[in-house]
Amino acid sequence: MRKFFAILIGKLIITITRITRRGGGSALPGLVALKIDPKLVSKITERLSNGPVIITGTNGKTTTAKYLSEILKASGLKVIANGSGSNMLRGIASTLIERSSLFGRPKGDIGLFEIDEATMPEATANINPKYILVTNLFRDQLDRYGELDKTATIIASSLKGLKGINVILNADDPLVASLSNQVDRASKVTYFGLDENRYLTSSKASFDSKDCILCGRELNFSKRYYAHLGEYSCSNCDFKRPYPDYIASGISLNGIKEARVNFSNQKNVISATLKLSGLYNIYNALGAYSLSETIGIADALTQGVLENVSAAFGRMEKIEFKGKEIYLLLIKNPIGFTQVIETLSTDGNAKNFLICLNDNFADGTDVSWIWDADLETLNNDFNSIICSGTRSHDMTLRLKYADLDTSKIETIEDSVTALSKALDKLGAKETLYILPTYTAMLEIRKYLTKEGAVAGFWEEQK
Amino acid sequence: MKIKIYHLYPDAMNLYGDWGNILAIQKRCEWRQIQTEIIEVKVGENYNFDDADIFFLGGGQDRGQILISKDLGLKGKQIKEAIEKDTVALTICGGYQLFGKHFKTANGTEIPGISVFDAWTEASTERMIGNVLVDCRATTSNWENMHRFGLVEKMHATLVGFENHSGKTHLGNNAKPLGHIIRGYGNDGTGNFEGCQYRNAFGTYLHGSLLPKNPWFTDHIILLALRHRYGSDSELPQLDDAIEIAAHNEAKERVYTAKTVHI
Repeated sequence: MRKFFAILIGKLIITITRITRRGGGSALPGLVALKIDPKLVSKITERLSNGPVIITGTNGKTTTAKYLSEILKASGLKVIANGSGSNMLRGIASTLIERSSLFGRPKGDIGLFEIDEATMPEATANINPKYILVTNLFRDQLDRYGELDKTATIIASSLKGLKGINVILNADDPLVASLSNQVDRASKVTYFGLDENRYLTSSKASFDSKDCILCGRELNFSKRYYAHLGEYSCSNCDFKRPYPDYIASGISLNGIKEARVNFSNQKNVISATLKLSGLYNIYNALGAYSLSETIGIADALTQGVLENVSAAFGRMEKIEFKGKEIYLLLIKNPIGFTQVIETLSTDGNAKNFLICLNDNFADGTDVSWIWDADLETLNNDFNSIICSGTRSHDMTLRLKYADLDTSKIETIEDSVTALSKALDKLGAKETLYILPTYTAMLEIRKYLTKEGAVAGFWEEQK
Repeated sequence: MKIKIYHLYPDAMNLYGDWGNILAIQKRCEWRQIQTEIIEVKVGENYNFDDADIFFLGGGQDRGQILISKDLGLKGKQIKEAIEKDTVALTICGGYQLFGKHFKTANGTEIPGISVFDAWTEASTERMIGNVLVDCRATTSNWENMHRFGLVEKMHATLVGFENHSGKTHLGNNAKPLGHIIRGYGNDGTGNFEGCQYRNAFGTYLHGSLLPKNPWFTDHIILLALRHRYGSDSELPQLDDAIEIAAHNEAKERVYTAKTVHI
């Protein structure tokens, strides 16, 4: 009875918020329903025939989930997924309420949930996961979660005692790979990683985790792809990068437009040309490939989908607006910011940027992370930059100290005003690259939606 | 002209953009044709700190802090001697705590500091997170530099930054704070004092990064370093700080307008 009322009330709230157009109604229905029946999520997810998949980690959750979701759909499975950043338990409850009958029977075969690192203990206790994938652990919104080591500890505690599940870890991230120690013997651990010599870095930016999490001594890196992702071994104990079961190799990046890559499971190889470029997106596609292999989906099908998927909500999204071309590239932490800039620079064209730095709760209220991003690589290789957002001046200041030419940089606090100005200034055949933090992206998208450029984001989730 | 900066344990102690502080010193020197040499101090290696003009120690995770505390203890005597001879030091958050007398962890263990500051820190279960605004008028009234640049009028001698700590730092009877809290938790969570100063050594909880947004404080540090090396008649030419001041004022405004959420 509790479950019934919880779902009923939840569904009512969803309808009301949709009618009154008060946003996508992401969190509220779940929040209220969980007050009525705290076990609601578990009661619905246990009835999913192929079980839920959880994707967690700092970067790449949304894109990895999008890749996998498309693969699952193409294989004929009905997918219930959360999205658009509502990755706390109440967001998941909202999704489940919408996608189940009044009696809690899910209208789908498999669940696909992006989970915030800090929500993991609550999530694994409620969602009955069958597959868990951890993408990476970088510094992100530290003001919310404390410190990076603590984040690793939180995820570790969420894995303890889970039996009979598949845990898929990024071998190249020492913090993530070390999580295998927490996995119960009755569960299976596999790894994914790159095998690459062309795109290596020696940049110290965001090189966050240089010490062995087991013994505290220094890790030796024989290769680094970016930040602390690479091939490593401990200088003291036997901790080293595990050999990956799923490998991406033969990578070739062409600016923001496309990337070529081979995926292998040590038996078969598939070659794909991805629409999403950048090493970080290769990791996302590789994660989705690893999951689809684990779930047992045919290679040919996976290959076709990997090639067709375009960007997830606000992540390297291409938008046509008033005859002009815009790319939306979400930034939320130093390594993501650095990777976006690095990927953009691989095509060698000077660009126009709009950077929107907000410091609201969902962005992370501490903006000091911009000082850890390697923005020196912009190197005056740009036509113009407009900085906007609640911390627009802080952003401009960061660029000044990156030794960029401040005469080509403008500060306009309001994001929408800044956007119009940036578009006005744009020459024929030029592209505007918008780099917003999360709430700034919502503002910009809301404006573009109003002007008819993009569909409302809750419509996209279906 | 050249100043030499010893960056203490950059590998283990580099949280929340603290590297931006080194960058600010470096750039503001470079823009005035002053050279900077930065030496990264590592655990287990020996250094001669006689030629140090500035020490910098950032914040770290607990793991990093424990890792370096022993090594810092071995170098402590040398660092203190240099500070007695007017070498400048800037220490942030975890670094500030280690420049105090000791840090008492949640289970009661005392991690010794190097006692530059007459202050000590104890762990708490409260996480003190948020934007901070500090009034430094009273605590910096003897800094000549302030009047030289007319900064008291221009910037009202405020520091802006972001704190994120659970340690509570208590000042001893001989300690002088860096400033009075206008908004924020400050040293011990009571919202009274922020940071500590002893001779030319400064400790604070402020990230942000601190120095880029507080150029008057950066210039004070650079001027002290120049005077340490070249004598008391050293001067600093004025820079165009319009962007710095705009960022300072924006941060000041966010202290009042940003919503803080506690979890």
